Amino acid sequence: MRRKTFFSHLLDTDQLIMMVERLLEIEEEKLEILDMIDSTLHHRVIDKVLDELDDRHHELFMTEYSRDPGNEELLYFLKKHIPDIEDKIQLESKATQSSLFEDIKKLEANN
Amino acid sequence: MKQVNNKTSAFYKLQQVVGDHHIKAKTKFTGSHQKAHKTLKKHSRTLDEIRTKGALAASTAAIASILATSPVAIAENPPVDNPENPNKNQIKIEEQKKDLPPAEVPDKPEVFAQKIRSIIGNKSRLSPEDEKALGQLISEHFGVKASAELDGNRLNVSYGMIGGEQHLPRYPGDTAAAHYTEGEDIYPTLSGITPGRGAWGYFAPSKGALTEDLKTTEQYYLVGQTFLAPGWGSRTKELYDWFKYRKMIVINTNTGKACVGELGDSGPATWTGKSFGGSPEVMIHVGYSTGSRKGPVVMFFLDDAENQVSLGKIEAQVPNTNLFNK
Repeated sequence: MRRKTFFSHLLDTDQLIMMVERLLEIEEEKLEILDMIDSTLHHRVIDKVLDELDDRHHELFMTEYSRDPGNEELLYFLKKHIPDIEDKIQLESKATQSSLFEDIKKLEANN
Repeated sequence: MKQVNNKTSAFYKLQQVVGDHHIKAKTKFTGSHQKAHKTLKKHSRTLDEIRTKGALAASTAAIASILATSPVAIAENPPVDNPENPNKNQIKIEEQKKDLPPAEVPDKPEVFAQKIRSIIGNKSRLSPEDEKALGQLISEHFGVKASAELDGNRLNVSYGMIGGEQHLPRYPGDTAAAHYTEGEDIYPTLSGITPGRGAWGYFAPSKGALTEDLKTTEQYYLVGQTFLAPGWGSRTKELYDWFKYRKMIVINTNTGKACVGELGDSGPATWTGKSFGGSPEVMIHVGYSTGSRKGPVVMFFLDDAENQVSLGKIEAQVPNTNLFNK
């Protein structure tokens, strides 16, 4: 479903995965929802990285990222410019997941 | 869950909720970072394509390496798109590319599962050659040392059905509710707790003596038919000790989902038709936590004397493409 990215190890999605596993029984459905969650997180994280990174580095960063999203050097590059980028990525991921988690819980409560 | 057309109503409701977040995230990205979006377009890729397809075949880590070592210089000298007029950095990059193999990308879980199934074929029991090939495939995919036999010991089978187990009492007086940690999914707790202890007794003599490591061992405990292991009749005590909390990897042969756990109980009974068991958490990670809570898996030992492999979900190893000394 997804490839490793330079920030994969910073995203702990276990709780959301477990919730989807619990709510859906059909594997194909689970994969479709988890893929959508993954895409949401991906967009949020890259959005956050670009918010934090100086504009003049955007093109180079996106060029290399599009070539090889799993390249660990990308994280080192970002850390040189934004020392706490790992914390920022984790916070963004947690906030996104928390918001998703709450909305799914509300959905459960309404059923 | 009621069926609506081909998909369940639960799916449609979830799709609506998650879809809303998804659209907002995409709109925010394209709205806030139009230049970045254009850069991606220039390379004919979307963020979703990057996420699902990974590296381009000819990609190398060279650019990022130079970026990382001299970001300022690069920023003042952005790469030029015209191939007839490359700047110095691009020439350097191209030179480095010639010496580098293409970046490797790990198989998607479903592709990995397909490779496993191609080795298993329609056999119900694996040959030593099959186990060797699987051990190599699993080791390379996850970056671990996996084998069906370790230190001359093995279980009766390395491929078979796994069934969902309940939690095990970790100490005298332990309850299912005590397994719940605030903020975590409630589902494993709802699976309940067995009335008796596991094959190796309580994990700790009291609640106070239960360490975090032992907690994790129980959380990700596995079950194997140790009583059917070769040599059990003649080396019972030796094997009993050897199997205790022995680290293994269990892989769903349908999906490639995998989890690392430790043997925490002996079973299931032969009449069940199952060969292995897994804690509620293990079943979640291998994708058999719903429905009949069982399915085919391969379960191999991990040679991890240095205790480098964590218990829990495990994903494909990403090759290290680092080009400079950190």
